[in-house]
Amino acid sequence: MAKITVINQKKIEISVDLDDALTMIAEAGNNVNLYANEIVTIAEKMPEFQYTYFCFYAYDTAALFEKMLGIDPKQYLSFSLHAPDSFFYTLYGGMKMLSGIISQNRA
Amino acid sequence: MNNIKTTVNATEYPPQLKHKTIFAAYNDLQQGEAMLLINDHDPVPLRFQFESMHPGKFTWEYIEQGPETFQVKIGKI
Repeated sequence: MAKITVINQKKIEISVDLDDALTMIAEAGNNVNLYANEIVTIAEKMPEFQYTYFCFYAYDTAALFEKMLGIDPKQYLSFSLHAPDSFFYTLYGGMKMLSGIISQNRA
Repeated sequence: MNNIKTTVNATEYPPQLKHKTIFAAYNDLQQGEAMLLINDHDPVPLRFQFESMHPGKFTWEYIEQGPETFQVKIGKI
């Protein structure tokens, strides 16, 4: 489960692991229509960032991330994200699979 | 450093505005001009995004590399 540490009024530290990626995939899978654009964008853009450097705010794809966290990092000017590679690779696999379903549904 | 036209201190912007503000500043540059980016961590993801959005059209030079502050001179080619 994600661990959030408030450093001060401007900065928080976030630690996530593989299970948090699974939580995001489950949320996305249960609400494919709601998150469709975000799912497709994450699946398309993660390779740009060599997967493990993906930034959820680079392309406005942070809704699933924020839902999983249960807090809004936008309330802070700075946050650091500590995540193992398994978090990113698992998330990519899930988003890629769901984006395929979305593409089929749109065809 | 003389060709630096503008400075963006990313620590002054919330997460959802950081990349937008930086790319807006870059887009305002003329060829040969540069901007200075100040951040509190190494902006590696931003560099990947630059490489995707402006391949071969920018330079990336670290002026300061942490540990507390990172400064990158980003030029428009």
